Amino acid sequence: MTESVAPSKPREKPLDLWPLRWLITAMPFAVAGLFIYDNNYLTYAWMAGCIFGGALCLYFGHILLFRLQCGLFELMAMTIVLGLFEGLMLSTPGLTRIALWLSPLVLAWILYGAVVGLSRARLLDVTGTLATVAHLFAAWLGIAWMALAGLGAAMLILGDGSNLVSAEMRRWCWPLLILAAAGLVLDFWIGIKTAKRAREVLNSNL
Amino acid sequence: MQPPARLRQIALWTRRPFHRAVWRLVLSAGMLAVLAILLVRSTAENPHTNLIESRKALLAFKPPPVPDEENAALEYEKAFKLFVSYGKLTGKESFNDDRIPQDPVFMLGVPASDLDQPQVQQFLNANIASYAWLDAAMLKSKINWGHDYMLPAGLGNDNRYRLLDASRRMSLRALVRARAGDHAGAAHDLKAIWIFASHVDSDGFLFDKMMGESFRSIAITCMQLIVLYYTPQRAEDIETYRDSFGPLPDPRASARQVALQELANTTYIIDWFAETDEQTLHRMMSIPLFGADPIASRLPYAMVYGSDRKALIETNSEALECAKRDELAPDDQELWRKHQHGPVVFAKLYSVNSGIRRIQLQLLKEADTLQCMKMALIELAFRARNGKERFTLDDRGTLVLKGTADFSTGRPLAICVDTQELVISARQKVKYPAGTIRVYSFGMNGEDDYGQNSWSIGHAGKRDGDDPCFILPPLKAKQP
Repeated sequence: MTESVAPSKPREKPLDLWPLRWLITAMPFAVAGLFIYDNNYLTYAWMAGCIFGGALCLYFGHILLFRLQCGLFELMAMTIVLGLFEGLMLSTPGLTRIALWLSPLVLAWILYGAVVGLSRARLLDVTGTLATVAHLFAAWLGIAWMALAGLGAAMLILGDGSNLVSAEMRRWCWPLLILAAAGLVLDFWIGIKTAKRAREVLNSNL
Repeated sequence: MQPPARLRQIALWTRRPFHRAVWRLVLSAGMLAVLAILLVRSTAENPHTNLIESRKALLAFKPPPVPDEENAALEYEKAFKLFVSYGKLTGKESFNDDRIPQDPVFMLGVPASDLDQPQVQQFLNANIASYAWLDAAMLKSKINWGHDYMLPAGLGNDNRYRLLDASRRMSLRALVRARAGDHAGAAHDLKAIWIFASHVDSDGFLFDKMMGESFRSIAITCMQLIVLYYTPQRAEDIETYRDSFGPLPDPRASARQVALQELANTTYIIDWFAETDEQTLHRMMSIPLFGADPIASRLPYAMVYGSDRKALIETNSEALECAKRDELAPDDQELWRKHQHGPVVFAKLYSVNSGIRRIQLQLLKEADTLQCMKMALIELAFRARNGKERFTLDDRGTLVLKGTADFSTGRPLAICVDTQELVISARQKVKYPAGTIRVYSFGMNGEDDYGQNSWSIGHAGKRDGDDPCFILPPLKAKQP
């Protein structure tokens, strides 16, 4: 007599590296606590920022390459944006060192935006390559909206009396604020759509 | 199409945004710096490349090396080491409670009788060895202080102040010697001060030149006091005094040289700050958040550096062009209206325009005073030889010296008889009655102020006028 055993369902690997997720979240709080404890450590803020950026790169890179399996075209779009930013930053005279320290953060922003954009595309069932890349750009803009708005507002507030903001820089005030507004609106709008779709997915019997 | 399980995972991940909200905040701060760099791109200059250029330009002004046996700096070092200060000698303060100088070094301009105080001789005796090295230093024409030109503005160089002290000591000895009737010795000491002045400004920075001019001013003031207090009676002594001041300088050439060197120097300073000095950048850019951080201090200054450097070079170049055309450097406000196109941090601090203007005025004033002094000493020598004045004044008691021309405006020198009494020391009421003779130039305003000015000894109270002058006692006056 033989017993039939039902084949066990292969376990799906989790989407992200959850211990890393918690570690990254704890990092800014720990660093802020350290700075409050001893102000001298502020000198090492750049180092902390660099490590934070590196950890984000690991987290999102893992999701992007191993879980979402991004396509060649998306990878190319990411490479172009990264190359553009890094190239401009690293070739800015006199600022190479600071640009190097900021590089992990730029890469983290690209990968973060790519994961958010691709996950939205997957959830919204967007299959076209161009439409997917458009989602990536919307996500990048959405993530950067606070930085864009902060910089634009700072230049607007500092105004003529500032010894930091030149007339040439001030010309960028409104374009930055408009980009920030566009980023915010896109982020909000696509975010709502995605959240609705995610709810449907989770409620369905898939 | 995504496998259903993966889609559920993505949906779940999307529905839990707490972590990403935290990350987004931190990332935004970094992205703000990234965007700022991109904005700075169009105006950013490379401080490293600029520093290499400006360092080269500044080092071109460095004096050539001088062999030790010809270098006066070594004699000065020995003199400075052997100097015994009044405080060390007596344990007392340099000034008493009424701010009256007790330290002989500060006795230039005190009434003649003050030099008879015992501490004066005690001080001179204690410093015999130091004086001997100063005498040796003045015999050497070459000097190289060995200053580090790579330290902005030669900071940390206290030789200038030590030499200023030495000049004061020399003026003290000159007065003491003149009081004792040793006019040759006094002339030697005045010559020493004149040589110290050329030694102190050998590096050619604006500050050196200002120090040099203050030394020359000490020597001329000392000569003036000797003429008024201890008027030499022998024509030979008077001529020795006159010769100890050397030939008349060219104040305009000096101003041009200073402006040229300061243009190189200040450009180097601003590049040096931008490239190496985090402490100053931090302080100037008011970034309390990151401390003197080598990276955090860079970005804010990079936003300004291009326009800061441009404004500095433009304003200093304009001051240089004015000096080249033998004109006074322009007014500061007018200059900044013209050249400030963007934000500036160091440019206003290191613009040498007002400094160049000041040194131009000082050089002209000093050169004209020297010319008046030389002319007055010629008159005094004539008086000593012939027992009468060489000149005949007009009805107003003035005379224009034809064939002479001052440096300020090219107008001739003049002589007048003072109608008011001359107060030499208001404190001890030392004065000459009316009738002193002023040899003077019309000064920068080109107007005849009858030899009145606001800086030299003269009438008590407020005085107007800008005439460089030298005062002679009346022909038959009793010395105060």
